[in-house]
Amino acid sequence: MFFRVIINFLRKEKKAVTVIFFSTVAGTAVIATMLSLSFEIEDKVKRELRSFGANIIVEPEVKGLMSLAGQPHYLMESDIPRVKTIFWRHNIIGIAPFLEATLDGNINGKAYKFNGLGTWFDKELPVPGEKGFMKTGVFTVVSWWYVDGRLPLKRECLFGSALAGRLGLKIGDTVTFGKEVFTITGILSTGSREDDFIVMSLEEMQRIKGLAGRVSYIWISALTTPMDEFAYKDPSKMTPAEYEKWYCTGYVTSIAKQIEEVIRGSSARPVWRVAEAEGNILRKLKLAVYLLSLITLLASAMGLSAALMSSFLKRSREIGLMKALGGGGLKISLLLLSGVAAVTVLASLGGFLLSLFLSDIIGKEVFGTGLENRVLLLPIALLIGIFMTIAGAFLPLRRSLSLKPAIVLKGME
Amino acid sequence: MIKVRGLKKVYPSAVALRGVDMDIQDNEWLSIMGPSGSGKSTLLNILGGLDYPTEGSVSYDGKEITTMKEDELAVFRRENIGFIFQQSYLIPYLTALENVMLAQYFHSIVDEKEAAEALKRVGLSHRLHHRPSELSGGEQQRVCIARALINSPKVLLADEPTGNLDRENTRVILELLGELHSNEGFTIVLVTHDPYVAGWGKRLLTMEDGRIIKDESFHS
Amino acid sequence: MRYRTLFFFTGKAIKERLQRIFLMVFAVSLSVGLLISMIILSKGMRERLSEELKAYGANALITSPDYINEEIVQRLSGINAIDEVLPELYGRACFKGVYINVIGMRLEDMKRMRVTGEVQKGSVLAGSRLAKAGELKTGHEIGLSIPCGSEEMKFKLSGIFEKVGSEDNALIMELKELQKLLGLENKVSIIMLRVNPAVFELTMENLKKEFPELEIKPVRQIALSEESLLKKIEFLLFVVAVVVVVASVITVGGIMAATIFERLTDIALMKTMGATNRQIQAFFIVEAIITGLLGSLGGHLLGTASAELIALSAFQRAVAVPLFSIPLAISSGLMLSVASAIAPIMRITAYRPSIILRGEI
Ligand SMILES: Nc1ncnc2c1ncn2[C@@H]1O[C@H](COP(=O)(O)OP(=O)(O)OP(=O)(O)O)[C@@H](O)[C@H]1O
Ligand SMILES: [Mg+2]
Repeated sequence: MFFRVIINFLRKEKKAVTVIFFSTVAGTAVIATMLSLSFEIEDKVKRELRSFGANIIVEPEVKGLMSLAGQPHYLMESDIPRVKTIFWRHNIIGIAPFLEATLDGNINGKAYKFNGLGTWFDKELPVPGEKGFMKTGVFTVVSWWYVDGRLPLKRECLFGSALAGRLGLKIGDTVTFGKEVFTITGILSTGSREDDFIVMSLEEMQRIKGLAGRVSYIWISALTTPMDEFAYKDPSKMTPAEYEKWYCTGYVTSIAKQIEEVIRGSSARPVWRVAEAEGNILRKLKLAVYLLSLITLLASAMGLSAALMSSFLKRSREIGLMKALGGGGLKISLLLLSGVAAVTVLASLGGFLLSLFLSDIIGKEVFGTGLENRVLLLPIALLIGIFMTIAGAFLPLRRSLSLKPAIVLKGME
Repeated sequence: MIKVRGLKKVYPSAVALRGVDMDIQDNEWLSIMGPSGSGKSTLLNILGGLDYPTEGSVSYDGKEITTMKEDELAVFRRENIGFIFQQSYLIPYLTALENVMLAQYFHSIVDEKEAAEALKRVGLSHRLHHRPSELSGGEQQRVCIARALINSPKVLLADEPTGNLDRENTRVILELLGELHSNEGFTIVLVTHDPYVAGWGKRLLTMEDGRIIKDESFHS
Repeated sequence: MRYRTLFFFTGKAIKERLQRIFLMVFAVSLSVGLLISMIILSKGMRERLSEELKAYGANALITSPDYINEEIVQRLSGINAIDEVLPELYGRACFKGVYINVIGMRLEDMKRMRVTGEVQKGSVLAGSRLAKAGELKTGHEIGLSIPCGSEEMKFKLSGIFEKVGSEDNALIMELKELQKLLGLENKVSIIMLRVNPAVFELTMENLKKEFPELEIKPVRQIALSEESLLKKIEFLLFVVAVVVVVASVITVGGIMAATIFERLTDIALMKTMGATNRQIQAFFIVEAIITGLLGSLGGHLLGTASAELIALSAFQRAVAVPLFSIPLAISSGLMLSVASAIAPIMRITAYRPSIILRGEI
């Protein structure tokens, strides 16, 4: 009999079932989507903020005033792969070494002194101890370099837009360094000092300057944990336990420290304005999205409860009848609730599936990659659905059960 | 005069009316009896324009109603027909008085005095501001009568109006109907299972299996 | 007269079914509230974020082959869309026999640099690499001469800053003093601008028109990323708002449908009394309008409250409630409740009363 009541409820009370079904699907879908969004917003925005450029700069250590003005110091290019051996190696998402030096060039028989810059454009860096490669190069660190033309290969170079403009050069023109003729394959605009530079591959720069294997500085882009109060403590004054905690947290300072340890003769420093702004934005945005999710969650849950409540209010006549037939409160509630619960469980499942689709769309549209689908959300969605059923049914059920059946049946509802 | 010709009503699962012909004179009090499922309610609903027949015609003073559109039917009903059912369908959140006033509202304009007067005529002047749930079954049915007659219809259609009432209440209702009938002169078509109730009419139709099998007149 | 009775019966229907009406008003409030809070927040978020983005530094640069006159700084400061104007003068001075870079800037503009020690008028600050190379400590006296070997001027080193970039090899001093030192009164080398990212493109164009003699360039690193970040965040809120609104329309629609369908016998009854479909629909539409109005008022309160709550805790600051949010709340609440009432009303009035009274539906 129990199941007959449920089955007939599902079959005959199509409107009530439809209302419960759709509002539960809508409610759980929104809740699950907001949850998966708040799970991943931090990671997504972190990556987004990385477009502001390197947050760690590795330079040669300085010793004595003359090292600023006199002979330049260099880092070893061969040390770079070791960056992928540090504790936080998976957080390193961009590496670009630069060799900066003056170049004596000759254009149409006229001699010039240029600022030259060599870098990796697109380099698959072998990862030590692993089979894979890491995509590195200047474009993994900067998002604002624009090359009109194509990237230079051997005996080719880019001219900064300001420089090219001043000299009236265009793609296809040539410049001679010593005995070597370089062809301009593109005009580079960056909106900063590189606009006055000649830029070529690191290899070519090292070759014509006779500085094989040397680089002047390295830009590194790393995903970091926002700096908190603890992170600002001076590591040299920490207790061993604190130091351990600091070292093993992905702060920009601890990652910089670890990089410094693997690149010989280097000093790695956070680019503070980038690192700090990033931390602040992340914190605020994260909190805002969390709170927004919470509010959406509450609202959807309440909407869902309201929908259920409206369908339960309608059934007070039925409840009066059941009471008249001698049903006890618990039995009646179980009977009514289990039908609805069957619908909500099904609908939560639907809501979960819909949320996978929704979060995928949001992720793709907003951040270019889908949000990870979390199976964890399934039990959460189910729990929310069932909890809302009970919450939504509680008030009207209690009210109907407390009424005398005679009054209900007579039409007071 | 109401003219019914060749009326058929076919449902996918059953045939409710298999061809009904009858004439109902103005000011007549007609009772209809018959076993359950014989098509009485179906006939009454079609007479009142609540439903369309599958075949056949119903005309009031020569005006065919089976071809009217929904809204025309609504206007027709509000001008000509009053209904009473076995269950006293009243709006639960309106008082007795307001339930009557609602019918006025649909018909023309609301007149509270007139509504109160109508309830007084059915003996409910002391129950004007009670909700349906605060009234007895007989009292509810009397509200329904007041409501059915408030717009002075030409025809009152009653489907087992006393089905839920005891003999005493049944008598009260019927006396009330009889008094209103002779004062105001509307036609009554009353469906019932109770020979006592049917006996109040001047004419009795007996239905079986979707047909009229007997048509008797009692002249007193 | 007719309208008064219409409202009388609707009012009665509402008063006597308060629980249900409350449910509907509540559901409408929730949806409207979410929408409003989303809109207020996205506006507030944009403002707060662009403020936060300031920390990334200047997003436009003014250079000139020659020095720039300082009066330009005053004119730029008067422009609304420019949040900050940071003039700098570059020079070289001899320190312990080595030429080092000296940057002159208004010391109050140093707020955003990390400084150990303090920023003090009349004293100088050393970049971290310069300090390391020269083993300089706060409190040291720095003697500068131009050119090397000429008479030294003494400055107190009040702090060490770190910016990461070529500035870290340099010394910073008050702009006015460096101008005097170099004999370049009222001249600066470069002006960095912080343009409001919301109106970046427009402002850049206006600046180019207003100062044709100057070279004005966007700092692409900042300007591009900023714009894309703000756009993404805004788009995110928009998409979330759409999802939430669609979901709440479904829920409100469901509740509406349920409360309307529950009055099926009422409707059949009205029909037997000769009510036309239009008359019955009018009841429900008026009811929906009242529900919508109440709901949008509640929703506006709810929405502003939750938006402020979020803003206060996430941004530590209240956000402005735009005036247009009130008509928006009202129109969206009305639309929501009327639209979700229309479909069930149309369906329900289409049933024949005989079918309803039999209890088939
Ligand atoms: N909507 C419908 N769909 C299918 N069959 C119907 C429908 N309405 C009525 N019927 C059938 O038509 C027949 C006549 O029904 P009707 O309600 O007119 O009987 P009745 O004479 O009023 O019976 P009672 O005395 O029990 O009220 C019955 O067999 C019934 O099952
Ligand atoms: Mg019947």
